[in-house]
Amino acid sequence: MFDVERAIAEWRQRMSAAGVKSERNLNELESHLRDDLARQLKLGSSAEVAFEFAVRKIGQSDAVATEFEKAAPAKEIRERKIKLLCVVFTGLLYLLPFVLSIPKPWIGFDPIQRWLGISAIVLTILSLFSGSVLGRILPVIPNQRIRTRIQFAFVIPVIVWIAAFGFAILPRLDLTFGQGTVAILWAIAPLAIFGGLTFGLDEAAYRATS
Amino acid sequence: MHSIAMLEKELIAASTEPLILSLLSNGESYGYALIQEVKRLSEDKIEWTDGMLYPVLHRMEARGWIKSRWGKSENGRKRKYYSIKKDGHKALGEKREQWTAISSVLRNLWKEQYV
Repeated sequence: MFDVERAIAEWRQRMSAAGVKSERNLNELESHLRDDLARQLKLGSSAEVAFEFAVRKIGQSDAVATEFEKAAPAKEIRERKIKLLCVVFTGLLYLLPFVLSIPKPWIGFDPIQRWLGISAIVLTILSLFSGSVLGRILPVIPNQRIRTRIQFAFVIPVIVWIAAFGFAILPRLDLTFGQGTVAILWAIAPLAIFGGLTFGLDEAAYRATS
Repeated sequence: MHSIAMLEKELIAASTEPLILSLLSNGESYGYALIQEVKRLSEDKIEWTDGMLYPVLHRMEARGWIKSRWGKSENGRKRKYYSIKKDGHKALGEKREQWTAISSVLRNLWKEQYV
Protein backbone atom coordinates (compact mmCIF):
# COMPACT_ATOMS: atom_id res chain seq x y z
CA MET A 1 0.00 0.00 0.00
CA PHE A 2 1.19 3.51 -0.84
CA ASP A 3 2.72 5.24 2.18
CA VAL A 4 2.17 9.01 1.80
CA GLU A 5 4.38 9.99 4.74
CA ARG A 6 7.28 7.93 3.46
CA ALA A 7 6.83 9.30 -0.07
CA ILE A 8 6.88 12.87 1.32
CA ALA A 9 10.01 12.17 3.39
CA GLU A 10 11.76 10.76 0.29
CA TRP A 11 10.65 13.72 -1.82
CA ARG A 12 12.08 16.10 0.82
CA GLN A 13 15.38 14.25 0.66
CA ARG A 14 15.43 14.60 -3.13
CA MET A 15 14.74 18.33 -2.88
CA SER A 16 17.45 18.73 -0.25
CA ALA A 17 19.96 16.76 -2.35
CA ALA A 18 19.14 19.01 -5.33
CA GLY A 19 20.09 22.09 -3.27
CA VAL A 20 17.00 23.24 -1.35
CA LYS A 21 18.93 23.15 1.94
CA SER A 22 16.88 25.46 4.15
CA GLU A 23 14.54 23.57 6.48
CA ARG A 24 12.06 26.42 6.30
CA ASN A 25 11.97 26.34 2.51
CA LEU A 26 11.46 22.58 2.61
CA ASN A 27 8.71 23.00 5.21
CA GLU A 28 6.99 25.57 3.04
CA LEU A 29 7.17 23.35 -0.05
CA GLU A 30 5.92 20.39 1.99
CA SER A 31 3.02 22.45 3.31
CA HIS A 32 2.16 23.28 -0.33
CA LEU A 33 2.43 19.63 -1.32
CA ARG A 34 0.10 18.62 1.49
CA ASP A 35 -2.43 21.33 0.54
CA ASP A 36 -2.46 20.01 -3.01
CA LEU A 37 -2.70 16.39 -1.86
CA ALA A 38 -5.63 17.19 0.43
CA ARG A 39 -7.47 18.94 -2.39
CA GLN A 40 -6.93 16.12 -4.87
CA LEU A 41 -7.93 13.44 -2.36
CA LYS A 42 -11.13 15.40 -1.72
CA LEU A 43 -11.81 15.32 -5.46
CA GLY A 44 -11.51 11.52 -5.41
CA SER A 45 -7.93 10.83 -6.56
CA SER A 46 -5.99 7.95 -5.08
CA ALA A 47 -3.14 8.90 -2.72
CA GLU A 48 -0.48 7.68 -5.12
CA VAL A 49 -1.86 9.51 -8.17
CA ALA A 50 -2.44 12.67 -6.10
CA PHE A 51 1.11 12.57 -4.76
CA GLU A 52 2.73 12.06 -8.17
CA PHE A 53 0.65 14.88 -9.66
CA ALA A 54 1.40 17.28 -6.78
CA VAL A 55 5.14 16.56 -7.01
CA ARG A 56 5.08 17.14 -10.77
CA LYS A 57 3.30 20.46 -10.28
CA ILE A 58 5.87 21.67 -7.75
CA GLY A 59 8.48 21.25 -10.47
CA GLN A 60 11.89 19.72 -11.09
CA SER A 61 13.94 19.74 -7.90
CA ASP A 62 17.03 21.19 -9.64
CA ALA A 63 15.05 24.04 -11.19
CA VAL A 64 13.31 24.88 -7.91
CA ALA A 65 16.66 24.82 -6.05
CA THR A 66 18.18 27.16 -8.64
CA GLU A 67 15.31 29.62 -8.23
CA PHE A 68 15.68 29.57 -4.44
CA GLU A 69 19.39 30.22 -4.82
CA LYS A 70 18.69 33.17 -7.13
CA ALA A 71 16.22 34.58 -4.61
CA ALA A 72 18.78 34.58 -1.76
CA PRO A 73 20.27 38.06 -1.49
CA ALA A 74 23.54 38.18 -3.45
CA LYS A 75 25.27 40.15 -0.68
CA GLU A 76 24.50 37.48 1.88
CA ILE A 77 25.84 34.74 -0.39
CA ARG A 78 29.06 36.72 -0.98
CA GLU A 79 29.52 37.40 2.74
CA ARG A 80 28.95 33.74 3.51
CA LYS A 81 31.60 32.68 1.02
CA ILE A 82 34.11 35.20 2.45
CA LYS A 83 33.43 33.94 6.00
CA LEU A 84 33.89 30.33 4.86
CA LEU A 85 37.17 31.23 3.15
CA CYS A 86 38.35 32.97 6.35
CA VAL A 87 37.54 29.84 8.37
CA VAL A 88 39.41 27.58 5.93
CA PHE A 89 42.38 29.99 5.79
CA THR A 90 42.53 30.22 9.61
CA GLY A 91 42.36 26.42 9.87
CA LEU A 92 45.23 26.00 7.40
CA LEU A 93 47.30 28.68 9.11
CA TYR A 94 46.71 27.00 12.46
CA LEU A 95 47.78 23.61 11.15
CA LEU A 96 50.81 24.91 9.22
CA PRO A 97 53.39 24.65 12.07
CA PHE A 98 52.33 21.05 12.75
CA VAL A 99 52.44 20.11 9.07
CA LEU A 100 55.94 21.63 8.80
CA SER A 101 57.10 19.68 11.87
CA ILE A 102 55.76 16.33 10.60
CA PRO A 103 59.26 14.78 10.13
CA LYS A 104 59.91 15.14 13.89
CA PRO A 105 56.53 15.59 15.57
CA TRP A 106 56.10 16.20 19.29
CA ILE A 107 59.79 15.97 20.22
CA GLY A 108 60.29 17.02 23.82
CA PHE A 109 56.74 16.09 24.82
CA ASP A 110 55.90 13.41 27.35
CA PRO A 111 52.94 11.11 26.44
CA ILE A 112 50.42 13.11 28.51
CA GLN A 113 51.48 16.40 26.90
CA ARG A 114 51.29 14.76 23.47
CA TRP A 115 47.69 13.62 23.98
CA LEU A 116 46.69 16.93 25.56
CA GLY A 117 48.20 18.74 22.58
CA ILE A 118 46.54 16.50 19.99
CA SER A 119 43.14 16.77 21.70
CA ALA A 120 43.45 20.59 21.76
CA ILE A 121 44.20 20.60 18.00
CA VAL A 122 41.31 18.24 17.21
CA LEU A 123 38.92 20.33 19.34
CA THR A 124 40.09 23.55 17.68
CA ILE A 125 39.73 22.24 14.12
CA LEU A 126 36.33 20.63 14.79
CA SER A 127 35.10 23.81 16.49
CA LEU A 128 36.32 25.95 13.61
CA PHE A 129 34.24 23.95 11.14
CA SER A 130 31.28 23.36 13.46
CA GLY A 131 29.28 26.28 12.03
CA SER A 132 27.29 24.29 9.47
CA VAL A 133 26.24 21.72 12.12
CA LEU A 134 25.51 24.37 14.76
CA GLY A 135 23.43 26.24 12.16
CA ARG A 136 20.83 23.46 12.45
CA ILE A 137 20.41 23.76 16.21
CA LEU A 138 21.16 27.37 17.13
CA PRO A 139 18.28 29.87 17.41
CA VAL A 140 17.47 31.90 14.30
CA ILE A 141 18.27 35.61 14.65
CA PRO A 142 17.11 37.10 11.34
CA ASN A 143 18.09 40.70 12.16
CA GLN A 144 21.70 41.01 11.04
CA ARG A 145 22.48 43.96 13.33
CA ILE A 146 21.38 42.08 16.45
CA ARG A 147 23.25 38.97 15.22
CA THR A 148 26.47 40.93 14.73
CA ARG A 149 26.19 42.41 18.23
CA ILE A 150 25.77 38.95 19.74
CA GLN A 151 28.73 37.67 17.69
CA PHE A 152 30.90 40.52 18.97
CA ALA A 153 29.75 39.75 22.50
CA PHE A 154 30.98 36.16 21.92
CA VAL A 155 34.32 36.98 20.38
CA ILE A 156 35.55 40.05 22.28
CA PRO A 157 35.98 38.28 25.70
CA VAL A 158 37.87 35.47 23.95
CA ILE A 159 40.21 37.92 22.23
CA VAL A 160 40.74 39.69 25.58
CA TRP A 161 41.50 36.27 27.13
CA ILE A 162 44.06 35.39 24.43
CA ALA A 163 45.75 38.80 24.76
CA ALA A 164 45.85 38.46 28.56
CA PHE A 165 47.19 34.91 28.26
CA GLY A 166 49.86 35.84 25.70
CA PHE A 167 51.05 39.07 27.29
CA ALA A 168 50.35 38.69 31.01
CA ILE A 169 50.04 35.03 32.01
CA LEU A 170 52.39 33.09 29.74
CA PRO A 171 55.52 35.26 30.28
CA ARG A 172 55.15 34.76 34.07
CA LEU A 173 54.95 30.99 33.87
CA ASP A 174 58.08 28.89 34.02
CA LEU A 175 57.17 26.14 31.55
CA THR A 176 59.07 23.58 29.53
CA PHE A 177 58.68 23.67 25.73
CA GLY A 178 56.11 20.84 25.85
CA GLN A 179 54.09 22.42 28.67
CA GLY A 180 54.17 25.83 26.96
CA THR A 181 52.96 24.41 23.63
CA VAL A 182 50.10 22.54 25.27
CA ALA A 183 49.10 25.63 27.26
CA ILE A 184 49.09 27.77 24.08
CA LEU A 185 47.06 25.19 22.15
CA TRP A 186 44.39 25.09 24.86
CA ALA A 187 44.43 28.87 25.22
CA ILE A 188 43.67 29.25 21.49
CA ALA A 189 40.86 26.64 21.48
CA PRO A 190 38.13 29.00 22.88
CA LEU A 191 38.66 31.29 19.89
CA ALA A 192 37.77 28.43 17.55
CA ILE A 193 34.80 27.37 19.71
CA PHE A 194 33.30 30.85 19.72
CA GLY A 195 34.28 31.33 16.07
CA GLY A 196 32.24 28.21 15.27
CA LEU A 197 29.33 29.61 17.29
CA THR A 198 29.35 32.94 15.44
CA PHE A 199 29.51 31.17 12.08
CA GLY A 200 26.72 28.86 13.28
CA LEU A 201 24.46 31.84 14.07
CA ASP A 202 24.96 33.10 10.50
CA GLU A 203 24.25 29.66 9.11
CA ALA A 204 21.05 29.35 11.18
CA ALA A 205 19.81 32.71 9.85
CA TYR A 206 20.86 31.82 6.29
CA ARG A 207 19.09 28.46 6.42
CA ALA A 208 15.94 30.09 7.74
CA THR A 209 15.72 32.93 5.28
CA SER A 210 17.26 31.61 2.08
CA MET B 1 -15.06 25.32 -29.92
CA HIS B 2 -12.99 28.48 -29.69
CA SER B 3 -10.10 28.24 -27.23
CA ILE B 4 -7.66 30.89 -26.04
CA ALA B 5 -4.03 29.76 -25.88
CA MET B 6 -2.14 29.70 -22.59
CA LEU B 7 -0.25 32.92 -21.96
CA GLU B 8 3.40 33.06 -22.98
CA LYS B 9 6.00 32.17 -20.36
CA GLU B 10 7.67 35.60 -20.41
CA LEU B 11 4.37 37.40 -20.01
CA ILE B 12 3.43 35.18 -17.08
CA ALA B 13 6.84 35.78 -15.46
CA ALA B 14 6.51 39.56 -15.84
CA SER B 15 3.03 39.57 -14.37
CA THR B 16 3.82 37.39 -11.34
CA GLU B 17 4.83 40.17 -8.94
CA PRO B 18 1.91 42.51 -9.75
CA LEU B 19 -0.47 39.57 -9.46
CA ILE B 20 0.89 38.55 -6.06
CA LEU B 21 0.85 42.14 -4.79
CA SER B 22 -2.72 42.63 -6.05
CA LEU B 23 -3.94 39.43 -4.40
CA LEU B 24 -2.20 40.24 -1.12
CA SER B 25 -3.64 43.75 -1.15
CA ASN B 26 -6.99 41.99 -0.58
CA GLY B 27 -5.65 40.31 2.55
CA GLU B 28 -3.21 37.78 3.96
CA SER B 29 -2.78 34.57 1.99
CA TYR B 30 -0.47 31.61 1.39
CA GLY B 31 1.28 30.07 -1.61
CA TYR B 32 -1.21 27.38 -2.53
CA ALA B 33 -4.19 29.72 -2.21
CA LEU B 34 -2.43 32.36 -4.36
CA ILE B 35 -1.86 29.81 -7.12
CA GLN B 36 -5.46 28.59 -7.01
CA GLU B 37 -6.79 32.15 -7.05
CA VAL B 38 -4.67 33.15 -10.06
CA LYS B 39 -5.75 29.99 -11.86
CA ARG B 40 -9.41 30.73 -11.16
CA LEU B 41 -9.24 34.42 -12.08
CA SER B 42 -7.36 33.70 -15.32
CA GLU B 43 -9.70 30.82 -16.16
CA ASP B 44 -6.73 28.42 -16.22
CA LYS B 45 -4.74 30.53 -18.68
CA ILE B 46 -2.10 31.37 -16.08
CA GLU B 47 -0.57 28.30 -14.53
CA TRP B 48 2.54 28.82 -12.44
CA THR B 49 4.97 26.00 -11.73
CA ASP B 50 4.04 25.71 -8.05
CA GLY B 51 7.57 25.45 -6.66
CA MET B 52 8.71 28.56 -8.52
CA LEU B 53 6.26 30.80 -6.65
CA TYR B 54 8.12 30.55 -3.34
CA PRO B 55 11.48 31.96 -4.50
CA VAL B 56 9.52 34.90 -5.97
CA LEU B 57 7.71 35.42 -2.66
CA HIS B 58 11.05 35.30 -0.81
CA ARG B 59 12.60 37.82 -3.19
CA MET B 60 9.63 40.15 -2.68
CA GLU B 61 10.00 39.71 1.08
CA ALA B 62 13.72 40.55 0.86
CA ARG B 63 12.77 43.75 -0.99
CA GLY B 64 10.46 44.67 1.87
CA TRP B 65 7.27 44.51 -0.21
CA ILE B 66 5.66 41.69 1.73
CA LYS B 67 6.13 39.97 5.08
CA SER B 68 5.52 36.44 6.24
CA ARG B 69 4.61 34.55 9.37
CA TRP B 70 4.25 30.88 10.21
CA GLY B 71 0.73 30.05 11.30
CA LYS B 72 -1.60 27.08 11.42
CA SER B 73 -3.87 25.81 8.66
CA GLU B 74 -7.50 24.90 9.36
CA ASN B 75 -6.42 21.30 10.07
CA GLY B 76 -3.62 22.34 12.41
CA ARG B 77 -0.66 21.97 10.02
CA LYS B 78 2.09 24.59 9.87
CA ARG B 79 1.62 27.05 7.02
CA LYS B 80 3.42 30.23 5.96
CA TYR B 81 1.19 33.24 5.43
CA TYR B 82 2.15 36.34 3.46
CA SER B 83 0.81 39.87 3.71
CA ILE B 84 1.58 43.11 1.90
CA LYS B 85 3.64 45.92 3.49
CA LYS B 86 3.61 49.67 2.91
CA ASP B 87 6.42 49.44 0.32
CA GLY B 88 4.46 46.66 -1.38
CA HIS B 89 1.46 48.96 -1.82
CA LYS B 90 3.81 51.56 -3.30
CA ALA B 91 5.36 49.00 -5.67
CA LEU B 92 1.88 47.82 -6.64
CA GLY B 93 0.89 51.40 -7.48
CA GLU B 94 3.92 51.76 -9.76
CA LYS B 95 3.32 48.41 -11.45
CA ARG B 96 -0.32 49.23 -11.93
CA GLU B 97 0.60 52.46 -13.73
CA GLN B 98 3.03 50.60 -16.01
CA TRP B 99 0.61 47.81 -16.90
CA THR B 100 -2.23 50.27 -17.42
CA ALA B 101 -0.02 52.34 -19.76
CA ILE B 102 0.90 49.30 -21.88
CA SER B 103 -2.66 48.05 -21.91
CA SER B 104 -3.97 51.47 -22.93
CA VAL B 105 -1.44 51.82 -25.79
CA LEU B 106 -2.29 48.39 -27.17
CA ARG B 107 -6.02 48.99 -26.83
CA ASN B 108 -5.78 52.27 -28.75
CA LEU B 109 -3.60 50.72 -31.45
CA TRP B 110 -5.94 47.82 -31.99
CA LYS B 111 -8.97 50.10 -31.95
CA GLU B 112 -7.47 52.14 -34.81
CA GLN B 113 -6.66 49.00 -36.79
CA TYR B 114 -9.92 47.14 -36.49
CA VAL B 115 -12.64 49.77 -36.15
